[in-house]
Amino acid sequence: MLTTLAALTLAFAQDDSREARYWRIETCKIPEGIELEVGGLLQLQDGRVLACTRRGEVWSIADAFGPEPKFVRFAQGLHEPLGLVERDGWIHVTQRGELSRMRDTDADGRADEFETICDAWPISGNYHEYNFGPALDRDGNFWITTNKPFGDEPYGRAKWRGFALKITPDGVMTPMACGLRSPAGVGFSPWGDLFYTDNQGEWCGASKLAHIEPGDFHGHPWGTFACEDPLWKFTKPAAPPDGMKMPDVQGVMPSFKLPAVWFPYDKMGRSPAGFVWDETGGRFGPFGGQMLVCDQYQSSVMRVSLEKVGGRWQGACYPLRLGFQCGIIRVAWDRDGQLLCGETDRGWGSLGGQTMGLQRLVWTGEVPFEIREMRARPDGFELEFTRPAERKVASEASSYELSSYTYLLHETYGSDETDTAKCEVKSVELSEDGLRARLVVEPLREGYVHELRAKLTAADGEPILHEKAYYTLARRPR
Amino acid sequence: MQTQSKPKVVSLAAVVLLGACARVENAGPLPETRVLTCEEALEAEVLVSRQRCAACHASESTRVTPEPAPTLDTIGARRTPEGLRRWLADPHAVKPGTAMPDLLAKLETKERERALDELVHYLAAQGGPLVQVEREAELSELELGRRLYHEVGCVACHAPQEDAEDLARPLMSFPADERIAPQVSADLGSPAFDTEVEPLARFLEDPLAVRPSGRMPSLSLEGEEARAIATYLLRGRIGAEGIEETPGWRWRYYEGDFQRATPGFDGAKVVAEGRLESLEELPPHRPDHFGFEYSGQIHVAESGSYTFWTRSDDGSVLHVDGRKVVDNDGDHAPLERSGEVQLEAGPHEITVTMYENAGGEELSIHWKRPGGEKEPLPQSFLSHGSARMRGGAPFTLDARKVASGRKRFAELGCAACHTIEGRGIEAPKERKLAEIAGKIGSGCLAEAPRGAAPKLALGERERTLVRSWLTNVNALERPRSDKEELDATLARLDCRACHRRDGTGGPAPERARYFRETVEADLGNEGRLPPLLEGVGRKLHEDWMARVLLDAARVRPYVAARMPLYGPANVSSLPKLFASVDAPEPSAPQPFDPDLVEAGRKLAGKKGLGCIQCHRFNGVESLGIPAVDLATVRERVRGPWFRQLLSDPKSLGLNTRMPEMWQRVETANGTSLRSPVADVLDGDPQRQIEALWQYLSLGVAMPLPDGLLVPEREYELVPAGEPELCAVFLRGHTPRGLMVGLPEQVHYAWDFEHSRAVWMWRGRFFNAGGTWNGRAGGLERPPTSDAYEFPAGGALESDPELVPKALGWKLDAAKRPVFRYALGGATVEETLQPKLTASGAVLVRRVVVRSPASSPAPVLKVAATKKQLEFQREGDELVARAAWEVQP
Repeated sequence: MLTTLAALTLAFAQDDSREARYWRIETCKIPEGIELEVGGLLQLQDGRVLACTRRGEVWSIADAFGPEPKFVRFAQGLHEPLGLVERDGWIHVTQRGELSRMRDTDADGRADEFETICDAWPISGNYHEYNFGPALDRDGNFWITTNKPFGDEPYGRAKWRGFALKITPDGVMTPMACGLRSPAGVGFSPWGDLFYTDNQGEWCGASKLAHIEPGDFHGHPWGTFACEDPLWKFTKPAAPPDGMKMPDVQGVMPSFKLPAVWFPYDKMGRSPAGFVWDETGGRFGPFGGQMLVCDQYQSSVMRVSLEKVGGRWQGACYPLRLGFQCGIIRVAWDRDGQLLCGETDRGWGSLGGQTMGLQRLVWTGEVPFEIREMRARPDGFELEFTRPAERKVASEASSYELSSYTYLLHETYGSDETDTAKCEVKSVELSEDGLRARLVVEPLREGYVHELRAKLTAADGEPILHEKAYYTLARRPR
Repeated sequence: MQTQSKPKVVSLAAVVLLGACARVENAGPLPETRVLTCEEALEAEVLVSRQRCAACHASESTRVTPEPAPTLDTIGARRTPEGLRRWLADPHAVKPGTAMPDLLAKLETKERERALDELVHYLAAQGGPLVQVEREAELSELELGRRLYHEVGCVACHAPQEDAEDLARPLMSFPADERIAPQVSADLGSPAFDTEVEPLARFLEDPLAVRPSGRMPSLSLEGEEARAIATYLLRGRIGAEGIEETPGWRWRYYEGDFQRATPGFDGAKVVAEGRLESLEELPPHRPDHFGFEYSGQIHVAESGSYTFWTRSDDGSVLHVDGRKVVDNDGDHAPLERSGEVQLEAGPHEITVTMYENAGGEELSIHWKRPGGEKEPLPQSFLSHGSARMRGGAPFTLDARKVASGRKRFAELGCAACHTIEGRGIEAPKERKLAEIAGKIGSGCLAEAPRGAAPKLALGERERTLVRSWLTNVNALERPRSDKEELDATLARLDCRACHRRDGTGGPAPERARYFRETVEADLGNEGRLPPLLEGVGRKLHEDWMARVLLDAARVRPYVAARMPLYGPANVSSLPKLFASVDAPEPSAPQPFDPDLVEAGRKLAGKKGLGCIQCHRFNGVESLGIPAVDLATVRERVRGPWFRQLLSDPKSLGLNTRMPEMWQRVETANGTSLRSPVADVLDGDPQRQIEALWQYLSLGVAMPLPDGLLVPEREYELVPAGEPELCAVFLRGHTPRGLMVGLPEQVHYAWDFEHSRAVWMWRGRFFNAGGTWNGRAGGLERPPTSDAYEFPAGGALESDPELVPKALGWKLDAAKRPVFRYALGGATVEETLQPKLTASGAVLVRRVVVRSPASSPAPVLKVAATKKQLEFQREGDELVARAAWEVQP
């Protein structure tokens, strides 16, 4: 372990960001000749990490963050695999054209048996037809999300692009939700609800995290022609209105789904991708139960808290850690409860100077002063802090700035923040222990992001690590 | 504000001079006038210029110099007499909002009729009369015109003719009575009966020649394009019979010393044309130096992938729906080339262009339908559409009327604005502009002008603006500031119809939908909308801006809309004005340093900041989207702007997706910029930005960054020791393909979709660059042209035809794939294994078929040998085995 630290000191030496004091970034040393453009990550029980790559290989990596990680090519010849999941002794993988599973039957550390579970979706031969997942539900079904193509479709327009597909263990596919654009992350919450992340673009005014329920339409009409196929068991969504404010769309289109959380462009990355829930029991820091979402452009890990209001999921996103070497597409927990980050920016570019790699975000054991969670209240918000706040500042309304805005649903690429207005913080009440601040805020607007800036310090005088939080108030609690 | 005692009008001028104008105040309580804001005052001035008030009411002021009116030297050749009559009788009805006054409104009915008649004869005599002749409009022309009209930028100012979504569908896919959307919007006048294709096309090619005001700019339309738009706009002349389809091709014959098969041969004259049912023989032509163009509609029954071949001597190209599919161009002996295109079921435009330089000549066309074989393009699938455009009534000039028309032209004051007969005619002068301020209630600005005053197409708001503005004629004395001059020019030429500046402008949402990318390239709005002009004077060198405005220099080939040309008289002052208003910082050039250049080159490349991920460099494509070529930075962009773009792209207000390469990091000591590339120039952001600037300043002389041009060997897969597998899109076969390279140097491609081997080849295996470099997605095939293509179908034949279904694969002891697929109730395992022979390795194809013993054995034959498989019972299975050598 000592050697590891020595080897990595050089990389850390320059990271004097305040964030680095609480979460440090470690880098896996990749042997010359291996192109680790990570598409999917899986921590195996025996300690190895499996990483599938956009070049169709699967690498098993032993001692990934040690001085000399051992790389073995577990598999090759897969088609742009972008997700790995283990079940019943098989490694499941989503490729462009099929959901497959593989295993190592002769225990030589390399897969030798590959089975097609489902290839019921056609593809048109467009580079942008990526598939994400699989996510495993409690009944053993696999869920994948599909990208829509850009440009040529040399083998013919394909159905089921921009969908969430459910696939039973014996390979029966059912399309469950449509209107997705570039759904780069998909996964089930600990309580069994399915969420996905989507990237800003046409018909997706801002990047988002959305809850997927059967029959949903998430806004992008490109693929909905497939809804005339009898495989689609729900109503075919009508053409969405072009240029309407998001909260108004549901009024004219009941199947249109507002997201749980918007990630405001450039403030919270640009291209949210994979995510996990912190179920480490405190080994990763003070945000147990929350989501960690990576961004493929900003090379960052963000944080999301969710709550159920009026029967639907909504919540807030917060910065956690910038400064990775490359855009992150996948995150997974390692056996130490620290966060593996799989990276590739090929074809898009990202912050950070590297084009691929594997890093790990490690909690240093120190707890920063942060807004642990922002929650909606009928007349405002409640903030919960990780440590007691300094009373005087935290009790003043002027220490909190709030504004709200929404987005347009339109064909145009991305939406500006629309209908922005300042909110007034009418009053603040800080709890006895200094861990909770209750804000009365006017106005509260449903279907709007409420952007908070809290200029606070901890009771011990340390300034807050991140002043910002972005709450997507789909519904106001009654 | 200024001191109270001075007259208000003077105070206005002073305020404006100080650049803090808030309002324009008028001299007194005149009726129907009001205080104007600065913006309104400017609007009024632009209106007065446009209405050409000073053509009749003399003024020395340059603020209201009348815009030059259309020249009428050749008006008789451009407008039909019918069109002239309709126009003169009521210009405001024909084209609402026109600057043309209704000069005849003031005449008594009878006199008016006589004047109209005489003016029509006089104007028709200027190069005319133009009489519409019956002609045929090609469907392909209508389609081209329809597409161009809606995408090159016409609709920024003129009304769209159809809904944006309908444009994706070919005309013939609409019901017959909806194909020719008859509505030509009012803002285009009603050209269908007023002009003819050729003169309208000539106008579209060079509108400034007859309309020097620049209000209708040139969109750099070339021969064919201008004719197509003209035909489309004149489609109202198409009769009720609509578009008719005739079997076969439509051909056109050209003569010339052609070097390339360019569609339309760059506007060359059509020597002969006709129709042709089959392509067996070329229509009559001279021995050498000629070209043919064939066009038609191809009707495909099934959506899918189609391959086309042309075999020609010399060059040929084949386009489908305006997209080049086969490029077989250039001088050559008979040569066949192919291309593939994805077609939806329905009609598609197909055009084949060929030319012959010297020697022999030939042309043949083949195609392959989805799942079919290569065959001559069947004529039964071809038709060409055309429509008859009606002719107009003949017209005879009456010399006496021409002479009196000339007199009328002078008397009515037409000559005050229009030049005619190459010079102009003296027109009577009216009261000076500065003198009419007090009499604005009764003249041409009245709602119903009295006496001799002409009737203008002004609304109530505009009249009030002009009236209010006129009461402040002293402002005329003052020369415009650069800011005012710039704003006036932008307003006059309506630059904001496309460009946003100062937070306003850019296409309105309903028009923005028509702006598109020439290729769908994930560039977002930056790829389809005209660039924002926020701070453009800080950004661009004046020389470059002048080249954009005057020489059509362009750097965004992906934007389908074209930057118009307005002519030097209208825009040559713009570069200076932008520079004056936007006040670029003086650049502080640092000494040239070759080490910095090398550092910049590193930063641009793969292990640096990765500029190559998005930007082209000196014509070399990026790894991702085709963003602006950075070799153009030197000649275009100013240094201080460049530095701001790199250090804080969002601060420019340009909505750019340009990333923040140097991140703002919060540290205990405050915020600082942090470089992700620590090993270049010690990670110092400012020096890194300077290095990029010096590097990019080399322009086309720049050495290329690392990672842009990938060495051939970078993606070369060489099976050594064990097989190499690479999943790909297989060209012409399936998007679910696998390249299998064996160390024995015999390789094959497998199709998972149809569970069959597609090609086998020897020697070099495969370069995966098309699949692994950048966004990739290339369609792959073996690297050698003599690869063996397996016959259609799989290894086994069955009766009835069973469709195989992929089950997966295993690896054998040598790590070679064993493909598994179901065939009916049976399971097949297929391997292709190398076998050494005296002439090198060949492939042995081996199948093992298992079927449950509980049902009869399937009837299966080896496709290559036609030998039926024989099953043996093994436990509760029936098993058959076969192996055979592949015989290329």
